[in-house]
Amino acid sequence: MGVIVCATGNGVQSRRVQNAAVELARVDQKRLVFVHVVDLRQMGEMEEALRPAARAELAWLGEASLRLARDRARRQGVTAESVILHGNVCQALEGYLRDHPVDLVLLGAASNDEITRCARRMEQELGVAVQFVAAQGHGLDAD
Amino acid sequence: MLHFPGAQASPEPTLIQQEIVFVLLLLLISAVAIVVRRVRLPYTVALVLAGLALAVLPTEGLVKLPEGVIALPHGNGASDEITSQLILALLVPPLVFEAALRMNLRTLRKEWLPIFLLAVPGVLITALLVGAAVSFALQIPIALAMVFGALISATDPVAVIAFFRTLGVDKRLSILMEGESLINDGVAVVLFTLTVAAAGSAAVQPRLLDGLFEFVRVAGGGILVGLATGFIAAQIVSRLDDRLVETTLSMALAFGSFVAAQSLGVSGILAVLTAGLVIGSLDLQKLSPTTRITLYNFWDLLAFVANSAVFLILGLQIDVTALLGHVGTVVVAVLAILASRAIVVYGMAWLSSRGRDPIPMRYRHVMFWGGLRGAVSLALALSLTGPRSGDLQLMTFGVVLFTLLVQGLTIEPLIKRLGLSNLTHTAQQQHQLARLLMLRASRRELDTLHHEGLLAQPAWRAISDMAEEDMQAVLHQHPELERRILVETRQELLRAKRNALAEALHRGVIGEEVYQQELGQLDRQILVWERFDEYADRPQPGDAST
Repeated sequence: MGVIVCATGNGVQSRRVQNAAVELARVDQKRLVFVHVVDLRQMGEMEEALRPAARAELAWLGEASLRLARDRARRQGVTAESVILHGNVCQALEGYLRDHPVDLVLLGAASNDEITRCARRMEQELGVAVQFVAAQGHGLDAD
Repeated sequence: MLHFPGAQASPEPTLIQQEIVFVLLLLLISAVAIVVRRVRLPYTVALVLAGLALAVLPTEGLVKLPEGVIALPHGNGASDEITSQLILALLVPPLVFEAALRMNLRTLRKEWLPIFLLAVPGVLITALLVGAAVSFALQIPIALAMVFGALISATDPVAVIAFFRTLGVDKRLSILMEGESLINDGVAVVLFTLTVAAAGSAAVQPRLLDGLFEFVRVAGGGILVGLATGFIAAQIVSRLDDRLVETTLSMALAFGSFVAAQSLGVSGILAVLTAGLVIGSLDLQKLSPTTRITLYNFWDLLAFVANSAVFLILGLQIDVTALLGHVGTVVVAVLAILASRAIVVYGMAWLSSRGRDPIPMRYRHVMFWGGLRGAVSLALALSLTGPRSGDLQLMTFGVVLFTLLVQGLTIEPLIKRLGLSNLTHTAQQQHQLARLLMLRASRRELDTLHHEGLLAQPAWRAISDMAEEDMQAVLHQHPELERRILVETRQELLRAKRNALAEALHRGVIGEEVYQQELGQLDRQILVWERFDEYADRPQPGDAST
C-alpha cells in the first residue's frame, strides 16, 4: 500500500491541498499522512526567551489543524495519520522522506524558488514524486 | 447645578476642588469614549466635538473651573505659569513616552532615513515656512509667528493610522508616519522652547547660527539625559522581575528624565522620548512578558487620559465666538500648513528615495494629506501665556480642528482611490468572521438555556444542530477562517487561564512565587499570539502550503 504525504500549513490554500490529498488517497486506496512543519521563521525575528513558547504554541495550532484535517478525511472515508515536524519546512520534509517510504508528496502552489528547488531535490535525490496543487480551479473540493 | 465650595472665596483651589475637576474630566472622557463606539467617528475627532460642545454649552454656572487648576487666563499671573508648566510637564511626557515605548527600534532602523529627514529637517522647514507665511499674511511679529510654526509642526497621525488597520494598508506606510510623528514631537517641542525664549527676549534678535547651535545643544543634551536615565533604569529593571515595581519605575523614568533634563536646561521631551526607546527595546530576558504587558496597559491608559484631557481642556478654554471671528486667520494658517507639508513630504521623500528603497508616490500623497495635528500642538499652545497667546491658541485649535475634521474624515476615500486598501478582502473576511463569532455566541446561549432548564432537550438538540451546520457552511465557504478561529479560541483560552490563575492567588490557593512563575509562562504564550497576528499573513520563505 503506497503512502501519500500532504504537507499542510496554516495558510489559505491548505484546505485545497488537503482535499486533493484525501481524494487521491480515497481513489488510489493509499495511506495518507498529513505533515505540519512548525517553522519559527514564520514569526520573523524573535527574542530567544520567546522561542520555546512560540514553538509550543505553533505546535498547538498545527495539532489543532491536523485534527480537523483528519476529521474531514474520516468523513470522506479516509483514515489519515498526522505528524508534526520542527524546523525549516524543506529540510524537515526531506528528513521525513529519508526515514519513511513515501510515493507522493502534495504541496501547495510553488510560491517561491526555495520550494521549487526543494521539490526537485525530493524527486531527483529521494525518488519521491511531488505534485503541486494549483491555487485555483483544481476541481478537487471534496468536503 | 454643581458649584465648587469656596471657589469664590479663595483664589487658590482646594484639594477637593481639584479632585472634583479631575473626576469630571474622567467622566467626560469616558462618556465620549462610550458614545464614539456607536458613531463612525475617529476618537480624536469625537473629542474635538465634545470639547467644542463644552465650549458652546453654558458650563460657566454648571461647572466653574477654579483658576489655577486647568483654567488659563490670558494674563501674566503666577497661576498662568503654574498651568503652562503643568500641561507641559504632566500631559506631554506620557504621550511621548507611550509612543516611544511601543516603537520597534528594529523596524525604525530600517526606515531611518525618510523618518529622520521628515522629522528633523522637515520640522525645521515647516516651522520656518509656516512662521514666515503667517507673519507675512497676518502681520504677526516674526518671533511670535515662529512660535506658532514650531508648535504646529508636530504631526499626530493616530486617527489616520486607525483607518490604516481597518483598510488593510501596507505596514510600511504606518511605520513611516508613526516614526515621523514620534521623532518630530520631540524636535517640535525643542524648537518651540527655543522660539518662545527668543520671542521673550526680542530686544536682541538671535542669529541663525546661534539658533542652530542652541538647537543642537538642547536637543543633544536631552538625548544624552534620556540615554543616561534610560540606561540606569534598564540596569535596574533587568535585575528585577516584579511588574508593579518595574511599571512604577517606568513612571519615575518618564517624569524623572523630563525633570532632570529641564533642570539642566536641555530638552525634557527628547529625554523622555530617548528613555522610552531604551526601555522599549529591552529584550524579554530583561523585561519579562508579564511586565511588558502590564507596562503597555498602564502607559496606554495614561496616554489615553492625557490625550483626551488635552482636547477637553482646550474645549473648556476656547472661546467659540472668538474662533468664528478668526476664521480668516485660521484659513491662512491651514493653507500655510498644507503648503509646507507638501514641500516637506514630497521633497524629503524624493531625497530619501534616491537610495535603494523609494517611497511610492501613492504613499507620499497619503503622508501629505495624513499629516494631521493633535495633542502635542494643543498642549504646547495651551502652555503659552502672555499677550497674544489667546490668538495663537485659537489658530492652533482651528488648524487641529481642520486637520481632524477635513483631512481626518477624507483620508479613507483617498486611500481607497489610490488603491492602497485591501478593503474588499478584509471586509469580506471580517463579515464572515463576525458571522462565525455570532454563531458561537448563540451556541453558548443555547447551552446556557438548556442547562438552566429553559429549553427542552429535543429543541436544544435541533437548534444546536442547525447552528452547527451554519458554522460548518461558513467554514466550508471560507476555509481560511479556520485558522483565525483556532487562533481566537487559543487566545480566549489563555486569557481564561490567566483569570483562573489570578483567582487562585486571590483565594490564597497558590502563593505569589508560583503565581509569578505561571504568569510569566502564560504571558509568553499570549505574547506569541500577538506576534503571530503581526506576521501570520505575510508570505514566509519555505511556506510550502499556504
